[in-house]
Amino acid sequence: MGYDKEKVGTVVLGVIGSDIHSIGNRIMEYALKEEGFNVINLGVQVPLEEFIKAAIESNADAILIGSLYGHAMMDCEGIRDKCIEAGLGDIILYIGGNLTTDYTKPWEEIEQTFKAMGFDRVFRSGVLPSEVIKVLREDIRKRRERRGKC
Amino acid sequence: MLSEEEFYRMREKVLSQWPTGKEVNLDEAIDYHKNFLSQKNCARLYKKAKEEKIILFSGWASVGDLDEHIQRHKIMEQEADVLNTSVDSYTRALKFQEIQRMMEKGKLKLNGVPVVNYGVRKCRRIVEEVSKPEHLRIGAPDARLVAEIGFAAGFSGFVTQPLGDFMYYCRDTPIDDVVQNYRYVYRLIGIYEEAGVPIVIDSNGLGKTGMTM
Repeated sequence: MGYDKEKVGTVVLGVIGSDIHSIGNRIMEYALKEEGFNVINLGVQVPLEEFIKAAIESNADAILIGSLYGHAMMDCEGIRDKCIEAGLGDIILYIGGNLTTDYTKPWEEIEQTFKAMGFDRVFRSGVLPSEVIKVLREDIRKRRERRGKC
Repeated sequence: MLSEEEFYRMREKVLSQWPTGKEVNLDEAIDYHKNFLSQKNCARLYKKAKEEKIILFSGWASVGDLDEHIQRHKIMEQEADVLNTSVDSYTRALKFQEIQRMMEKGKLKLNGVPVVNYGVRKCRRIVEEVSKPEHLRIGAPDARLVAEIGFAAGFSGFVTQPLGDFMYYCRDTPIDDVVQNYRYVYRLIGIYEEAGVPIVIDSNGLGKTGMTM
């Protein structure tokens, strides 16, 4: 649609683990494509390793993970280390959704837990795609600057 | 069709999927339902409600830790006529090994009760400590071992739907396998029925959320 997709950014999108919630995933895919991104959508029930393989194959700028069923912490265990092992050390990692089954936990604590796992940004359930895309553009630009590609 | 011979051949494999499969003894389970749970049977409750034109209230909440799960059901039993126990998403994907690893680490933070890992004896705590009939909820391509352990543990309702489950919960299981797996579950329900223990099959169910995910 007139965009240079590779230039805007390539993102791997999917719902991790045994989770089958697909509506948010489709909305994100639509929104990202509308904004000109090259989207590799792996759909639902995606093992962590598949995100990494797809990111290598597509030379992605970012991996965007969705999780609505509360098991994200277990599903994403060791994610940054696994990316480093695969040579994707500085890839942008985002996660969003209902990230725990413990609804009494304050959001700041949840966010901190996922950041400590290596995620660059953590989004609450119900975040607007435009908010994600805005910071994603910025993060991709910074990453490319660091890598001396732009 | 799933012949009786095929069913029992399959059953050996199903029960050996995880060590707790050994806890299932059909005759003992049927006696358990008849002797201890005749007042906590979903099918009898629904039949009575239909005859008397009564609206029932259904409560639903599930977590991985058994004490916490029972605590929630004890709150709901004060208002609800029937309660629902969801099976966690790892069990639905037959990831028993992973759950085992998590159990060894500490408190389970799962989105439902891992009935297979807990086994028959531990799960009976739910139907024994809660005063209302218990429905078991699962959407999965293969719910055979969950059904075996769940029914033996005293659950008398099963919320599931082969076609819906195939469409929503399967990424790489062929429909033939899903159909065969549910023939197994339905035959098992038939065995309980023949022995005088009715088990409800709820195909659409309260909040069958798979349809809107």
